[in-house]
Amino acid sequence: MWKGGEIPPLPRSREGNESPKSHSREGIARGRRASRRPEAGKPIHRKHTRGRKVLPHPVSHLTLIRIFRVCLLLLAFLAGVSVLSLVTGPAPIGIAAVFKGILAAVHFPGVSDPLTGAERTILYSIRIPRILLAGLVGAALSCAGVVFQGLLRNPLADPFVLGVSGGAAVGAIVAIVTGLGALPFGIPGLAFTGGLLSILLVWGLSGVTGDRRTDSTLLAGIIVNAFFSALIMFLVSITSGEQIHSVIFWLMGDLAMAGEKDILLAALFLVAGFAVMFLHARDLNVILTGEETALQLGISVKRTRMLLLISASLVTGAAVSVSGIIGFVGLMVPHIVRMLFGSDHRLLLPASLLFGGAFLMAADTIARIVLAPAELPVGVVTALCGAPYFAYLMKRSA
Amino acid sequence: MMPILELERIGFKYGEKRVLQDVTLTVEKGEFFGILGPNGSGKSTLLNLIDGIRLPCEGEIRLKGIAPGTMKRMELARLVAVVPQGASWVFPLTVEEVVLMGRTPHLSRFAFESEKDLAVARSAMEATEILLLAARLMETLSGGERQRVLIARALAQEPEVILLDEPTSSLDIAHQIRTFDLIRSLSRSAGLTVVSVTHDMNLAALYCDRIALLQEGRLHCLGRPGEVITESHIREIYGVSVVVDHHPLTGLPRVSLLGSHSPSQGSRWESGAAPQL
Repeated sequence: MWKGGEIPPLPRSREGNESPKSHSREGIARGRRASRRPEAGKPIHRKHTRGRKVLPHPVSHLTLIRIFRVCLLLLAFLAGVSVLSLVTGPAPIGIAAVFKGILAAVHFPGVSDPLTGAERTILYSIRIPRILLAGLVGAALSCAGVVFQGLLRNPLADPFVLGVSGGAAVGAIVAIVTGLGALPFGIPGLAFTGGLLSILLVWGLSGVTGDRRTDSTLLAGIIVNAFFSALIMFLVSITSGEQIHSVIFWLMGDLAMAGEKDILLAALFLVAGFAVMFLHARDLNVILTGEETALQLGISVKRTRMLLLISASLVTGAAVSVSGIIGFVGLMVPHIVRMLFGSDHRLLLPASLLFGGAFLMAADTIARIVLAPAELPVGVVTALCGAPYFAYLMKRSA
Repeated sequence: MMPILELERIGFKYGEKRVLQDVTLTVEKGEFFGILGPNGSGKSTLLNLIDGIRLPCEGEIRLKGIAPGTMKRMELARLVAVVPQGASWVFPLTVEEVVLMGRTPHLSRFAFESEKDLAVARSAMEATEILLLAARLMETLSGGERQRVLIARALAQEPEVILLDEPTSSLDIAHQIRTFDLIRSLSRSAGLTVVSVTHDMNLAALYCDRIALLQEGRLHCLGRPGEVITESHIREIYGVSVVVDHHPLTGLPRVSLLGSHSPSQGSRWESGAAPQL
């Protein structure tokens, strides 16, 4: 067997045949990476390039240290957004007071609690749970978006557009209506089932094998979505108001309704789903270039695809069961992250997790303050920026 | 010595449509084997059977004595690499990222590419003259450059058998020659076995040790270029007249297309069969 190191160099006819245009992800687009590597496209490592510096070969592959760095950066960003979100709201509570209050609450020595009872309620019962929930839901939807986009090789895919969120919402409502929600994992469990069902439906509708075209996937998503939206409205309208939150909650998405237990459960689902996704991140990279190619490179595509569809439905189900249908987060976040850090899923997945969390926190903060003291459902905010973004992507990829 | 690849009375159907029938051939280790034939004669299907994407309906395939369909995908990928005709590049991937994907079958699930993997990918890029493009995005490359990236990825796989599906269709003549030179030198020096589907009979004649000519899923003939590429075979299979003479330097067969310049027959339209407009 021959080894790659022994590949004989080709007889080169003349000077390099490549025009040294620089088309790489560079500058802002891949800021940190670009700054570490020599400028792409310049002739490099050629003995016969007279008068040019012989530079090391340009680096564009992913390293563990880079994942670590990017995640640290995004973690700092997430922390910043959460602090901002914590001190923003209709009730004016200053940063210092918030910090002192929290420090006092964890019995930090020498700090007295400056918060009034009402302020404490606002902070601990409203803002903090809501911020945590926003982070969780944003992270879940973004990861699901990454996986759906990768598996379908479709930059316009997202749990909302594909109807997975709709299916999950129907599942959750059915759980509540039938009383199955009382079982452990009942509501998110059925939401997951509904989500999985709809993605399998979309998969089946959009083409039996191989080359699944962008528009047919999206059309299938529209059909599934319309059907599930109608089901949601039907189910909610035949149910008494006591049992179920409003139609608006499910159709537009809201972060104000979930309880502590729900949040914990959703977090559990997210952790499990994300673990499966991350373990298959490199497989997903290869699947990006085509399923047949992935097979030829040794990936068991069917198994990987099923596991990834299940885990993406799982995290979508978790998100939807606590927040209703929040659209376009799973579309925008993977795109922005891909533009910043590239398409390697080993970085894209954790980065989308963190950035998605921060993204929805920020969106929810806007939803809370823009009409203060009234509140908007956060889904309105994400749709208001998401739908134009979708249009922009569609135009660009056409 | 056992041939590296044996096909024994292979048959394949897509549903009711018969694509391959009774194909028997063997490929020796280190051989450069060409598959020629008209569109729809089953060439690409044959490659799909060898790389285990499809399973034969009849007959047996053995790759180093084992049926590819029964091997694990990882094992098979360490043995066989495929250079497809093209691929879609929906998402931004750099050249180096794509070439490094060739290392997938050599990596365990949790591993990152090691120095060795990077070195292998790098020499594959060097050999295909794309090292300068390493950090470029696939979508910004020309068709020929992309094709060379796919070849580099296959080389990075360090396979024992490489399957090429019209590898040179989007390359200019300089890169056609260089690509085939590279692949042949690998087969000569390192024992890489090459099975290449191609439409270019002159290139096939120049590089292949043996050529199989397929017609409607059957093996029409098999042999050295001089035995396979003849005027009569081409007329039988493609239904066109050509002149086959000898390459002035190598003595290998050289095919010249005639088009409507055929002195003997003339064009079909000229002989009075032209459609009434």
